[in-house]
Amino acid sequence: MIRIENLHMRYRSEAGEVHAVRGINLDVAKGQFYTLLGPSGCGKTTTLRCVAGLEQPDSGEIWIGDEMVYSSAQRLRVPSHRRDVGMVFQSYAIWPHLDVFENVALPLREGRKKYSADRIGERVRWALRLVKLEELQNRPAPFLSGGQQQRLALARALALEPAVLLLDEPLSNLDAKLREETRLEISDLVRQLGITTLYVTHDQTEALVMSDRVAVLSEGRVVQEGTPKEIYQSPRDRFVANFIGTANFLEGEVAAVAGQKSEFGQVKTETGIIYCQLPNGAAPGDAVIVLVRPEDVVLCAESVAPEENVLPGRVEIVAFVGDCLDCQVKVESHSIRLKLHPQAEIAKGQMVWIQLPPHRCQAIQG
Amino acid sequence: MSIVSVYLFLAVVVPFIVFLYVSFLPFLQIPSVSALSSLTLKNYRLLVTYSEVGSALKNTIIMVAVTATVTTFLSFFISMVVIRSRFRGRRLLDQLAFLPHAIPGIVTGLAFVWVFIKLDFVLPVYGTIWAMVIGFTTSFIAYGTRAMNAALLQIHKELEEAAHVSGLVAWRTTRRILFPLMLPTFAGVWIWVVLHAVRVAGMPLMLYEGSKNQVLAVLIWNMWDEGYIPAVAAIGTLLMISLLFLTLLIRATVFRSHRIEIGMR
Repeated sequence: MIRIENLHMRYRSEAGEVHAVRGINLDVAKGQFYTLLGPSGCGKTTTLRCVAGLEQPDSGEIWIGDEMVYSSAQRLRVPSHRRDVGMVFQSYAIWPHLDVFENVALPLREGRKKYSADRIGERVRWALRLVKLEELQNRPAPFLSGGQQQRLALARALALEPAVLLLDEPLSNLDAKLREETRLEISDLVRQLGITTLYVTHDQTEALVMSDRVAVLSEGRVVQEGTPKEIYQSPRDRFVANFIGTANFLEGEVAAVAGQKSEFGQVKTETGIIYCQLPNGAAPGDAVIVLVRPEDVVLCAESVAPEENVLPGRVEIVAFVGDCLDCQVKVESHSIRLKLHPQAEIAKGQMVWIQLPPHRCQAIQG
Repeated sequence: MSIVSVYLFLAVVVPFIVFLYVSFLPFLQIPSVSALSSLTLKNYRLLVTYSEVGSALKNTIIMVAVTATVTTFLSFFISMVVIRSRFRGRRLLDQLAFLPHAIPGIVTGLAFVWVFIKLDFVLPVYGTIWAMVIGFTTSFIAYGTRAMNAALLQIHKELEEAAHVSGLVAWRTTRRILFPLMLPTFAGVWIWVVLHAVRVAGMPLMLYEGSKNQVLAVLIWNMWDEGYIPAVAAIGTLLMISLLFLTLLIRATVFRSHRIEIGMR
């Protein structure tokens, strides 16, 4: 439904020329909720704005549905107002001189599709009902709360029945509690409507919770693309692993690949041999990083028989976070973070055995 | 609060009362019983018969209205380029627009006199109210662009982008989004220019020639010079009252519902 091919975009800023987008390729299927995730300055918003036609790329191609809306080779650029998109901005961009009803009605009245007066009223009420604002139709826009403005912006975008919905960090101006509620509401709503959605965020939780597919961006490139689960469980590199959730990293080199003796490969690290899953095509001697998530690390009884990846260490930090204990255990020169059940018996300074379960240890190219 | 009230009373109300008082006297005198008994409408009748008053009034209205309108629109377009475009010379344009602030009115006046005399064969404006329109517009743009710059910076760009993406073509976006949001600023600049153009006399003194082209400020100066002081008070009183009404009218209509937050914080 949205296809981006080899998109490049540079712009001038106070700090000189910025090469914001460096060859991005994306393919969003019809009805998919697709998220561009990355830190600020990674080019995610610029990419979204190129799709909306608000920025002029330097090269590449963009398709919305069956229509090519931008092509540098064909010197084609369909202006924003003729692209079949609805967009929600980070600032919401609610028109402050109009009331709630008029904010939704104006694009229907003067926009790209022509509607009859009856149809406009119908569409506006439908959209406002969808976001639970129908009671506030006549309220002047400046008297809405942040959450209401955000919903109004969504209603305005949906009322036009666009082929694709573009969302630019729509939750970043809400407080934590509201953000949590709203992200479920939005993903429910767009799934129910079956509308193709391109979503931009720097919040990994939003990306994981809401998306069908996620593209992680860094410095204007797609670093990894996949389902939220794939990206969380098998990050391609240290950047992705670090950006999505927290992770422990153990650097080392491949000592043995998986074979008849063991289903796991072996990596020699400072803390000894770690059994783990090696990347495809890894050979002995390759530099790799073993990655293990804090919630996968387990605490073992002291009497446990020597087993794979069981390491002794001293507890450095125990922080009670409410739904878990966030701990740090020093194993030789490494500090390993682990997440434990809040009832776990553990105290600072205690000597413990921890296990990094081999099937949860993922080696990535170093 | 009370200090402010006392100051405003001394600075604004008292001079106005003095003006009002003098305008009803046959000649200038200190308040007394005999002065109060000699109150007369003579000065106001004089204004009706003094033929120059009518043409000065007409000239003033034309000059002020054209100046205010031209200043407002030019300031808007300059600020659009300065704030919204990526035009390379936008900083320089902003400096140029601001420059007249730094030059005393009499210098600007003289400079224009020379320019208009030299260019009389292509631009025969010297001695007409159009010379004043050009002179005033140039110096008021310095203020107008400050106000427009500030207002445009306040209007988040995403407000217009949202309209584009919603399918509104550029001129509809300008009409439906930008103009309504800029309206208080347009009105503010317009009224500011009107008030100042009526009041400021320095430049018109340099630029006018003959009674046909004089405006009220010049006429007041001439009448003062010729000793018609109560008549000057009469014109001044009428001028102040009409400007006060204009100000109140604009405040009441345009600034009514615009105490709002625009766009993002």
